[in-house]
Amino acid sequence: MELFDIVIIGAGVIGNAVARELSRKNYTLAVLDKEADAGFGISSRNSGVVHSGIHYTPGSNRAILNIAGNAAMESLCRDLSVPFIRTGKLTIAASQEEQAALHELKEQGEANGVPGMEMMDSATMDQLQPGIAGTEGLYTPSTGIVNPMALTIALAEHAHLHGVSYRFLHKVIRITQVQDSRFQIESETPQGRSALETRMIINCAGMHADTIAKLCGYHQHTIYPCRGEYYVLDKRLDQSLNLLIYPVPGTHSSGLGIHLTKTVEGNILIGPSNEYIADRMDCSTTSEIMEMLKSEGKTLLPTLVTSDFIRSFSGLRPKLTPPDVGGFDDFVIRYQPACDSVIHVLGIESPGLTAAPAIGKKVAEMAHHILPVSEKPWRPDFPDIPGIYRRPYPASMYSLDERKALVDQDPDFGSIICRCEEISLAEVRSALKRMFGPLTYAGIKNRCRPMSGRCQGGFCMPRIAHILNGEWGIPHENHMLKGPDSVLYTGLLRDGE
Amino acid sequence: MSRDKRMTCILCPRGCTITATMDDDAHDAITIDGAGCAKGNLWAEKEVSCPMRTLCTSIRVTGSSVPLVSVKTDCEVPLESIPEIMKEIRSCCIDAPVSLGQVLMHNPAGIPCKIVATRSTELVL
Amino acid sequence: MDKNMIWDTAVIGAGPAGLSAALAAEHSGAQKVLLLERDSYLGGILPQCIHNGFGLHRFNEELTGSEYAHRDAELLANSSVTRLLRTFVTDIVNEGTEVILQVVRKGSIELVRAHSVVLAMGCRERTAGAISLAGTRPSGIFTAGTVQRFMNMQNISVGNRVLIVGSGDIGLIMARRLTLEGAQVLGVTEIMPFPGGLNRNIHQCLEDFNIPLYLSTGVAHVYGNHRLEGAVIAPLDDKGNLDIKHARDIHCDTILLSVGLIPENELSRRIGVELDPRTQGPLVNEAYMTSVPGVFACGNVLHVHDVADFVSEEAQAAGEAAARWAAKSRETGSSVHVKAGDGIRYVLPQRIDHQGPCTLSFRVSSPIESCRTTVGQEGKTLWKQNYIKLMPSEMIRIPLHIKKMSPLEVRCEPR
Repeated sequence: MELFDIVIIGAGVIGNAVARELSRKNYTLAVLDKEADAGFGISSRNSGVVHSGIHYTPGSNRAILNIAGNAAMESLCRDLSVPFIRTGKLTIAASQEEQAALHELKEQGEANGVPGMEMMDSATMDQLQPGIAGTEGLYTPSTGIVNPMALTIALAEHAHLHGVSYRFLHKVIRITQVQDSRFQIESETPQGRSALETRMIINCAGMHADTIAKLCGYHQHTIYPCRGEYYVLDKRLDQSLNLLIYPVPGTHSSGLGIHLTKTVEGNILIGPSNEYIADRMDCSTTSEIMEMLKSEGKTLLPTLVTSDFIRSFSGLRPKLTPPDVGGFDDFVIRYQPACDSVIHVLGIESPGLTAAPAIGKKVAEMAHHILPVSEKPWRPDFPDIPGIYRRPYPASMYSLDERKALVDQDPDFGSIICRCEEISLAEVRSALKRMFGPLTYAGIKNRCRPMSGRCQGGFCMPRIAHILNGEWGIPHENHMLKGPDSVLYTGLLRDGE
Repeated sequence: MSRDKRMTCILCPRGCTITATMDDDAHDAITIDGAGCAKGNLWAEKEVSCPMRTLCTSIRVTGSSVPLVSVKTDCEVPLESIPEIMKEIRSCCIDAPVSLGQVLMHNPAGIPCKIVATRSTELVL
Repeated sequence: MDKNMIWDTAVIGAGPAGLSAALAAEHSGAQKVLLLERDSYLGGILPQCIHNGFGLHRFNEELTGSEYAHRDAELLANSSVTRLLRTFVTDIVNEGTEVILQVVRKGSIELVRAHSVVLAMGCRERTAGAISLAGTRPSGIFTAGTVQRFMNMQNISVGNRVLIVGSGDIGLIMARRLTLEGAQVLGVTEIMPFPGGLNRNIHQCLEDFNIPLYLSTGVAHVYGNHRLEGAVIAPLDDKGNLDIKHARDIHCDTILLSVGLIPENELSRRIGVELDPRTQGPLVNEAYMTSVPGVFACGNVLHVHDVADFVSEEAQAAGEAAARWAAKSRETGSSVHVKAGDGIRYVLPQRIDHQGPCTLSFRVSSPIESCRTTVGQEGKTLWKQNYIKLMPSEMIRIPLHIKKMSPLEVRCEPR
């Protein structure tokens, strides 16, 4: 049976960040995930905000790891060619009570070491974002935005580059301790049961981290899924938002309130709502909340029209506080009691994305403490590989001269297959070459953005079908959205040679 | 006794609502009302006894850059015969090149009509 | 392409609008006409419209969409129009007397200059996001036009048990198409109390195959975590909310959305063309010139049509005007407004700049029986017509000769 030094369960942003940190050393590493690609769980379902750290209790994991993660994010994203923008954020008070809360937030931020904070009056705020309402604001310049899919995938690809083995469509169903303090991990896969052995286990299973913990014999925690719905707006409105704008959060709220954020590519997001749900896989959107978000959106951005709402989606937070308690609990990052070859990383809800680089480092140090090994040759970035396009943004977002240079390298940078985001055939090919798990439409979308524009694939999906069938020889009945259960087509309309 | 049958004329985008009054024991219409033109009257008379349609679909083509050639029946065929014609068309496969108007099948399923191409496609070697 | 070349007229999009506009520009004396098309073939959406119903108005015979496109493509082949396929226009700017287009295709990104431009980019389909489709995000939810392309151009079938959401013409046509190919079409839902598509398509696409049409019915939510498993549909109550008590569960593996078309005006916005919130297309004058001088618009980018023949007719006028503009034949005059009055959803053109011939196109706001439509000016009736019934799905076009420069109003009232 295959034996690894360390197996990480979960290929989300946390699992991949841990895997990448561990890949600096001479471990044999594997990452198991039940989905078909990295980041198909909660990591790709959030607003992509890199938080400043004002919201968390001083001394908590959330505060410390958020501050460290925020500080590390810029150079990490530069190394991994992931888009990151330090937009800054305004948290706005609309009443005297909220002003008092705002000042408390600032004090908390100071205690946490949040850099560069500033209180602003309405006139100063208006200079940052014309037309803004509110009596006073707290400006945090260190807040930023990142593409969460790109970050999660780049961490995985970088870990993979350094020898980490990824096993997708592996749903862990049993963990048993075998001789020599090894563990056997059994997984369900489309090909049947599969088993491997490992000396250490790191549980980064996100929404399912409590389930995995229980499989390891650790029953301390329960995860309560909490859902937040978002709307994605047309890029047309990109210019309407200069920085992130949040209300002052309510004290008993489990979220930070409905607000506008923007994505690095220029779509505005409205959301999220905040609602405990029963089913931890339930990423549905609901009519009531979508209507609410629409009307909130129209208040916040008066020029919005119906056709500007291009997609809704739901994010999920793996909360450790039950519905009747609400609020937030701290991240749990610890050795399993009486079994320190198992590390649990649980309840990584907001600001998990921001904290990911710091969590990766912390967990890697914890593992190294138990299983010390030597370092190995390691580069922080990706090598240039012909046919692989690895820049933070789609080619269409660069200047005319830069695009011309790309077209000179590969003429198919001029072959546009996605009309909304202007994604080229060269970029889709590159995305397909970068994938080391099953080829899925969602995987292509998360890597290079076709199907994420205003027509939502109406134009490019038939073209992607053509590429996958023609250039990769994949029969149409095997084309899948997210995995083997989400096939897209039933086959050919007419058979025949 | 007589009864009314209301239908929407399909001859042009106007889509007139036509009412045909029929004898209970006969299949033909006694009176036709509501058609905006003479053609509509004739269409409605036929519609109550034996609805006729032009079938448009596609046929598999090989040796071309496209997998299908669109086709239609060269005349209207009885609506009820369409599933049978489709069955034959589905099992048919032709070689490129094909030119628009080319007859690809004769009397499919025994129905007196031709299946003609409604697009052209070249042979790709 | 020669960098210093200035085209007389550049036409963006080679669907029915672009084809007619380019040909008309050439016939009207434009020497250098450039036609830019992003697909690998001419005709836009027409080649995938393998059904008949085209050409009755223009050719006086019934053609399929592919046959209709073929006729214009033949004309184009015998013209001097330069065509570029697989070519995207990604930006457009106005530089005084010229318009500059950023043109991207395999192996090249270049700037192209033209004296006049015809916008003929067509439209796109509204998506699940735009209609706030509630529920999960499984595979199996497509827009109707995309499925039309999959089936008719790419030989790909998408599902077996199908619900069609929205009764636009493409959805109705696809209901029949899917049925003929052996899929089970379980029904068509429509949120309005009347169908979105043409009456004749209700008859020949649904009634012929006993496919139920659920009017005043919406989708409460869809379900299925991987592939679509079903949709819960419910009628609207008196207040227009879904009446969940009378909901019905439709077990389907596929949904086709036919919930409206959005004129594709991203480029128009780039060059600063003013848009009409009702049509979601440019504001134009009687020659289809937008608010930006030298930039014209026609076809579905201007307003969504239901009949291709009218697209061609409109585009011909736009192409002729674009050629005249390129030849520097530019009269300036004062503008008068054309108002969509009672009972009218929109009217085109929205303004008239010159006296002479002018075709008004309009739609009624809601279905109306036994009505009279009028065009009035200074209290006088320029044109009137009685109708037994008018539907919003039916576009009315009336040729007028404008003699006086004062505001016009179109109205539709019960008789």
